Amino acid sequence: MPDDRRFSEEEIERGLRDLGARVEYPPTPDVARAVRLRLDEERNRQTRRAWHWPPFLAPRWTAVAAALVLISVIALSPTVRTTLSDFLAPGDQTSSEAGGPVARPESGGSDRFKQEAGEGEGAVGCPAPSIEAEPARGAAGARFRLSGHDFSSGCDGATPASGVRIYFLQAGRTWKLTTLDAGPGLTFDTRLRVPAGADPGRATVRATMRSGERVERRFVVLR
Amino acid sequence: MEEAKLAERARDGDTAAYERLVRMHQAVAFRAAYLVTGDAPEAEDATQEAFVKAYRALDRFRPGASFRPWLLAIVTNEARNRRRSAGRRANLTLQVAAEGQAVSAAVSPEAALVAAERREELLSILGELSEGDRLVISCRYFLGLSEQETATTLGCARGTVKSRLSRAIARLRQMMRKEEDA
Repeated sequence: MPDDRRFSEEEIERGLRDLGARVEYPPTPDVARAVRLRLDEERNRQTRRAWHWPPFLAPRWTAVAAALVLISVIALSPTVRTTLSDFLAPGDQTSSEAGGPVARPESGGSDRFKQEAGEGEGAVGCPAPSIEAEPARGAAGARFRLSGHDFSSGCDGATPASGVRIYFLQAGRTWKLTTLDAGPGLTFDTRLRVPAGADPGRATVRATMRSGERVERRFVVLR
Repeated sequence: MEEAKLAERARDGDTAAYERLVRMHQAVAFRAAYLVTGDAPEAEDATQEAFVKAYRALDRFRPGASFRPWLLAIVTNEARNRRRSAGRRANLTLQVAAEGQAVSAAVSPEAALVAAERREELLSILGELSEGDRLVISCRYFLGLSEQETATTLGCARGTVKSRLSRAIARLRQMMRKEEDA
């Protein structure tokens, strides 16, 4: 027969409070510094992006300059002017048909320019780090090679990342495999072992940088 | 410097002030994330990411309000999303401290053993509760949040916290009885 007093709400609440006071958590990591570094780096990146181009070479001004050159060519070249006016003249079917193909490459050229300007801007972005496990499958205890690329500590693509933590994750369990630094080429290459306690099935290899940025790769643990 | 001032300076872009604010709350934030994920590295990542998101959302933080529950709402959301995206079920694998020397001296070894068994039993049954039930219990009894703070953390009304807690405890009670009968 269950003891009703033991299972009263008050008793359970007391038990929960007692339990809460005794829970042992893992040591709190110092995320404050990492958060500040990330925020400062983010701001510097934005500043760098804004000042990457000298003002007179910024994509916006380059587009304006190109447009001015185009207008000047149209205004100064009688052939282009005539073709364009033929193309634009309403009701003149013959000249429109003749002018159409001539006028189109111009607009195509303008689109291409915009595309190039856009690509130029995009190229300022940071390279994304990546990892590769070789082979990407293996039994518990087996060795595999892990290589990483573009592990840079900033967005300058010059400073190799240090303190990159490598984890092996499976079904809620985590093994820390190693901590390493990227080389001058922003790469690393290391030999690791599949944790002895890993079970057959899907797993993940994760590299976490000091900034908190991380990349993952699937791994299959074999029997 | 008081919390409100630090939050105000952080909102103006002072990352040093924000670092101090983070340091004030990182322990409770990490514990909250750990209670959701049950995995220390995952909880660390979730905590860090949540603090970065909170910084970006400081404009939405109401001046004069308490920072802790507002932050914990972001932390628990981040931790839950990470756990879900990893396709894992929450498993409550908490370690409970052994009886301290002072307590051992005051109670008999038998009583201490019974108390320890009860804690283990309670912990194991807690692991079988739904995520919602576990979260409300964790906020109130493990993180020591007030009802109002729990409400802000879980994004619901204070009355809802009361009723959820009462239902969670009732379910816990029922499960314990069942366990005892078995």
